[in-house]
Amino acid sequence: MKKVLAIILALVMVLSFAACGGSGKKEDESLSEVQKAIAAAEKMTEEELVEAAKKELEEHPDLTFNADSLTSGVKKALAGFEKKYEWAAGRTAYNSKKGSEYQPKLIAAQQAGSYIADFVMIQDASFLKNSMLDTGFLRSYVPSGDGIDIAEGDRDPLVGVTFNKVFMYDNTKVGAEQLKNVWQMTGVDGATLKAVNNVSYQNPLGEDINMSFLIMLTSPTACEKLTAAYKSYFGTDYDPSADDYENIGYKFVAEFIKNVGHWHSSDSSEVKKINTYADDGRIIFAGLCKLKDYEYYKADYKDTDQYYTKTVTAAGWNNDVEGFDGFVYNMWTLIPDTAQLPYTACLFIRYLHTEEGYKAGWGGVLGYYSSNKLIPSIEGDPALDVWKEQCIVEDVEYIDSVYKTAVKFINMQLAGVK
Amino acid sequence: MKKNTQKLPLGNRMKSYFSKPANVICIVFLVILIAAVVIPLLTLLIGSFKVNGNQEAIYIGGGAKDGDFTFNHWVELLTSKDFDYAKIKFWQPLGQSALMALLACVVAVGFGGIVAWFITRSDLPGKKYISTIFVFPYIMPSWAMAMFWENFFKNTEMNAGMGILQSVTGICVPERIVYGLFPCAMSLGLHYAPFAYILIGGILRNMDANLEEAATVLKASRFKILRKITLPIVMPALVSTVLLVFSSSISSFTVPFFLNKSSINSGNNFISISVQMRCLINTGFTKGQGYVLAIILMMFSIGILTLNNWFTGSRKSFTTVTGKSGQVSLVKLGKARVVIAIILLIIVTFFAVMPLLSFAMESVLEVPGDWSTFTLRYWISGEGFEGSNKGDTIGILRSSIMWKAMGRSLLLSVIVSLVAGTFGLLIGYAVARKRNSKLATTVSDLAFLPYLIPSMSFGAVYLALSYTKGFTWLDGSFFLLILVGSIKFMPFASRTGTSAMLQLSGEIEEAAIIIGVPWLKRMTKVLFPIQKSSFISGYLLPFISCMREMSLFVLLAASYTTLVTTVLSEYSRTGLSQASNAINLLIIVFVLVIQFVVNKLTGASIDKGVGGN
Repeated sequence: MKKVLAIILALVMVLSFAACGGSGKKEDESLSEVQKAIAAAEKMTEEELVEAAKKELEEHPDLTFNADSLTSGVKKALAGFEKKYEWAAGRTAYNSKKGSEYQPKLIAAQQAGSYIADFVMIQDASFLKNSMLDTGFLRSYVPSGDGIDIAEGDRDPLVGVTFNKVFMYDNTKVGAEQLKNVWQMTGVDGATLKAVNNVSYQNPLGEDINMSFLIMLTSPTACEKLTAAYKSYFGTDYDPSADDYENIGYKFVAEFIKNVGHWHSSDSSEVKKINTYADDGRIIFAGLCKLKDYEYYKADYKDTDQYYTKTVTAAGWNNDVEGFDGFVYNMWTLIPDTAQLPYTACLFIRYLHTEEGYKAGWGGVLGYYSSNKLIPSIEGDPALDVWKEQCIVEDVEYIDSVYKTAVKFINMQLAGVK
Repeated sequence: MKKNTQKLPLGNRMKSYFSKPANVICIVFLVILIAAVVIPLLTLLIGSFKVNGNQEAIYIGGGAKDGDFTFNHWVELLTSKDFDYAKIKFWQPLGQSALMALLACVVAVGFGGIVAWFITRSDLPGKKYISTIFVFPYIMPSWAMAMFWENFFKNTEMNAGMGILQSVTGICVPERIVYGLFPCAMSLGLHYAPFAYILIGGILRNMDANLEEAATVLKASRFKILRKITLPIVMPALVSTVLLVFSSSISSFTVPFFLNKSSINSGNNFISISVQMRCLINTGFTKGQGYVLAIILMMFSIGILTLNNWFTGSRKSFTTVTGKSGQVSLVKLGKARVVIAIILLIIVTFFAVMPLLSFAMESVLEVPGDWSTFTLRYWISGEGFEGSNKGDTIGILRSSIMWKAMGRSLLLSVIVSLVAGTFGLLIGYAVARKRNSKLATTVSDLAFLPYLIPSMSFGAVYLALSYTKGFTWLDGSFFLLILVGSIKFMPFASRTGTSAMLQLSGEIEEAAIIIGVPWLKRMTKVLFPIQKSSFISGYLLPFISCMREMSLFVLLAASYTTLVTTVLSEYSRTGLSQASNAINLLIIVFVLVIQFVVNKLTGASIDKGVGGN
């Protein structure tokens, strides 16, 4: 009996070893060319990666390095990239891609296994995870080396730049005192603070990020923040049995939507007109980076370095609203599995995560934050960690888990059903 | 008497069948349209019954996987009581949007039809001017009228800033006039009024005056003549117009999205079915529900199409051009002619010129409404546009990218209008000659279907095709844009072609056949010249639509620099709204110049087609 058992065990061990060895080999074989290049690039020094990218471009003189992105920062960074690596000059192309219009292209390329670009920078966490990462179409290369320190949670998928949307207003007439607690935006008038009834919010039916924000407001983390703010504002604890909402987040979302005074269709256009809304005290929920589009001072100061300073002073936003200051979300820098120039893509991603590359793309503007912890936000703008602490942060797992219920609930509120 | 039932041999029957040009046209277009239209339709239909991607699988739950068959999209959208989902997402928006589209039809047909009647059938002064500028709103994108509407009526009482009306008169109109269902219907109705004017006017201009004159001789009242003669004659064009305006309005996204800014509490919040559809299709979780909505919208329009067929396919004759009379008797308006002319001049000028002026204004002001920020830099500055490609500048007149894109758009629009216009004319001929034949009706219906498929979905299907092995040569190619544009805009041409051909008496062609004129010569020397104005409309309408089309091409263009509308979209997205307004103005001016050139070269134009001269 023992002999039989020993033989069986021996066989199991042999088969296990064989299986382990076999699967390792198979795994290596099943890796795509891009995956192999990324794995190799992650082990290279900067100099080695530069050499590999240079060699790749030289070997393919007919190819252009295509970078697809929603943000024009990539365009500016590409210019800096070509300047730093002269051998890449004239070999890169920036393709501006709007999210909702680019996603069908990515899906079509993924399903057909076709080339789409060598580098992409996209947002929408759920789309990225479910349609691009789970299908293995977009890959992450994690740069390392001197001057680069990317947080563990931002590596796979690799976060390129983080954004925030905050509540902004004209500083001269509206002022920071108007909004101190998020519950003011539900229309209820507290004992000490006046209700804010002139919030302008981009329609979530046309802007995914704004829908994600509303969904995230129902998350446990947001509920904690809302509960504390509720107590501070009303002077009493929130009583869940007082109404039928699933949690305090749903209550806030319902009352916030009812209280929105104006639904805008474009953050850029709305921020541009901040000064014209001074009289009605409008508070605009929009990307902080959109302040760069505010044009009131453009004509007078366009030839000086004061334009942006004047703009930032003219518009205000609160960093200490009880509850939350806004919403934080990411844009990821990734390589398609069908990329033709993967080493160049790795080198470009590495460049974007250096201080030099980041500054070339997004430097000097509020509301952009690098995932490289060693690159600080610009003067006058809190660090990303502070924003993350004070804002609601996009969480794809939570969004996926409650999407159906939360979106139905939000739709009901948008339709004005009691 | 014994009937001779002996059949001819198959070969002879085939030869006889294909010797008739109408049969050949029907067969050829049946094949083309099945490939180009039925496949996208099937893709939509299949998409409404399967799990489209991992996000949708999460939404459906219960272990659903990408590609699985499911009824979930239909059940969820049409019946879900969870948070009143079906009611809010589908039934309520559908009802409201249908109301909006019907109202838009009333405005378009009423306004366009009345103007067309005055231009073609009366002795109204100032016809040339009215006719020329009346088509302006149709040349503009539909949201331009919406933007103008808001800029004109908004007021400080509703916290929307001061509009033109308030600043000039101090009048503050209620919020319901500025945002919601009513202004959407008005904007769309005014945008499509020129379309009604072109179609109805074309028929009115060509109708046989003998009929009305005979009625007058028999002492019929003007109302009776209108009810018993004029209206029945223009009925095919009227139904076609209603069909096209209804379909366009109910699926219009930009206007309801732009004019839905009211707070929920105002009770004026209006979410159209097209906004819901776009939202569903663009969200990975609910693509299938978006397809369901698209299919239902199409079924709505197919209902009207059936009605249209009932009108044109029944035994009633709508022949108005017999070749026997070219005289058109103009109704004398008497003393009222000047008053009517002045009223029309004011209304038409207001809705045609003011939006253009607002475009021009927006393009020269850094801050909207603030003349102290006047600048010409969005027209002439050589300063680089930071978020864009090399050679691009903020000043659009100095942007090589903009000019190249404009050139490509023009080329595309010309080719598309030639292809779609000719296809439409041929289909119209076949349908008219084989009226009541199932094959002709099928071809006619198929030719109209592309109009009913949402542009984004239509583009997405061809995008997927261009990524498929064997078709990758299409990816990003100019040919793909031509193909998609020609199919998508063929309905305009096929409707106008059919209307025009149905008006032509068969006797005219029969006379040519008897004296042995070959088919091509009959088409080019007999039929086309008689109905030239209507046919040229069939060419001009796809041209105009193609020049200003964005959503159809945005997925298929190789880059944003490909077409002028994709450049416009990029400028708008990156916050250069002044530059995008300038491009809008430029597109309109270009179309007008093209019209002028066509007019000088061929003597034809849209407005002349309905009697502007």
